Amino acid sequence: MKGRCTLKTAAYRSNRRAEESSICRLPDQGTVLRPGRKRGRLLYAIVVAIALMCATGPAAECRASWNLSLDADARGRVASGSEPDATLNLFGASLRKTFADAKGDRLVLFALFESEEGFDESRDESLHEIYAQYKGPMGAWNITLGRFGLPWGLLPNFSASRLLYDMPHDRVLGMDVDSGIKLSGVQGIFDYGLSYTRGYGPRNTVDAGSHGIATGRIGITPGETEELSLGLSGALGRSINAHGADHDEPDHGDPDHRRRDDDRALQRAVVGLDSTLYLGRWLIRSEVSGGQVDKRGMRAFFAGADYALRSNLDLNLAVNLSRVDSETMNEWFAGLTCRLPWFILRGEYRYVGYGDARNQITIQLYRFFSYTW
Amino acid sequence: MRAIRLPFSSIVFFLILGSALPAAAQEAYLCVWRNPERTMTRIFPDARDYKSVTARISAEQRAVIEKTLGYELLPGQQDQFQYYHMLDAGGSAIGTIIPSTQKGEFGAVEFVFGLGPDTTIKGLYIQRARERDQAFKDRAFLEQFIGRSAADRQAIQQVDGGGTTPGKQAVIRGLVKELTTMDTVAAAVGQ
Repeated sequence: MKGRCTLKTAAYRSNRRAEESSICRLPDQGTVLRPGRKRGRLLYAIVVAIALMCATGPAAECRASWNLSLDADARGRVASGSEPDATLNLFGASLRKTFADAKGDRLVLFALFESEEGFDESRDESLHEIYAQYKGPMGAWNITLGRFGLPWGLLPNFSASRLLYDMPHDRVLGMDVDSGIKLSGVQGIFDYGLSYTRGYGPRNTVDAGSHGIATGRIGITPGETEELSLGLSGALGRSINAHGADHDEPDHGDPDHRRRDDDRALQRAVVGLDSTLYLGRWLIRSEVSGGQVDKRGMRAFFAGADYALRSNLDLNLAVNLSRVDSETMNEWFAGLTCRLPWFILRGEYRYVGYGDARNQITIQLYRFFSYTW
Repeated sequence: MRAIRLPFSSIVFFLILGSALPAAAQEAYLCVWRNPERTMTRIFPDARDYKSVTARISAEQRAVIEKTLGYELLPGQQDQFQYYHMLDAGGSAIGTIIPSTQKGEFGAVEFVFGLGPDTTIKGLYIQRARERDQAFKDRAFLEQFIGRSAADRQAIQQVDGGGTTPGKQAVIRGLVKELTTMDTVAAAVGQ
């Protein structure tokens, strides 16, 4: 269910993710300064320093191009057992700067700010991504430092952050973006990504336990028309309990103290398979994951299918399933996407197989703007 | 029904997005290109790196392009043109890669083509499309464009009788559009 538990990735484009690898872009912290926040600021300072060195050092002849992207969406929802509601759900702003030297594009700096308000009236604002990426020749290797999307499953090439359905990454990894270092690239029909990150997620939630998670994916895209992509992913380490990180209930009357068991790190050892298939008018994505989370067996499955009814109208279907020990969560989606001249209009029916609000209908008005100079 | 909660800053931004910059909004037919290096290497296997170029299309240039084409450029393609110089190990340009997005029958048809130093087409690959008829992806169709240039616009438009399926028509239309735009923009910067 959308709200503070929602995970987000960079704006799409038409697409969201693929910020690291895409060239044509589409067109998706608390007030207490915790130790993690200080480390985060150090990380950002390193990113800025790298950028300054590139801009003023030996590569002073670097040329740079800028891209500014803005997006926003408004949503109205009717759910069983609750009053109809509407909200300006999300505003996102990203800035990308690409430096090129005499031999090609070399350094990419990227930052994404998001402000989201859920139907529960909670507001979440964060610098969701900020990173520096040093590009090797012809994309064979790229080193990314900062907070970025994790190399897992469908995430490198797809994000549901601006859509009306969810993906199970909060249960599998605890997050979809994290701070650390990543090595990625393309070699022929193969693409790869390997990262080591702190496991704090997008909000730098910190507790006394140790964090640190390694995540990797190797993908293959055979054929010249790239209609089929397959990927194998793995993750090992400790990361936040996503739903606990969203729970800000104060403890012992201290508003700055969070309950330890909600912020605790979870040990994760998971593997996953993903696929993307263009089949005529169908676009079908799927991701299956399994392993151990917090020493409990975990399985998750996501599938989404888009069918082009007309040039500007799609039918959207999706299912999001997960099972941890005997606890099962399932969500089923059916909707339409209509691309209007200035907006995208989406409507969705969702059936939630757990909790109180079993039936939901949501309408979304989405606007994306991007400018490069 | 509870009232819509619209913080002032959100209202400001949403109004800006909705009204202030319609001409500059790049939304409907932006190119989304994942793992571009894979296709670049297919067309230019000797390339060692690339440099992205974003060229502005002035109002005068847009008028020239649209007059040549006989129709308006698509939203998202009206005031900027993006392409990539392919470079060898010494940093010298060996060609240009141009991504294209054109309206098909069931959404955008995205493809990429390369121009050699002589500005003729070296290769063309379909990236992404959801068309009912997939014949536009056949190599026999796509290779008819190899060796063509912007000067061959009319000949390109006659390939396959002008395109017997919506997918083929989108490829032909997109190819002519990108070649015309590149020709106009490159002439302006003396490239």
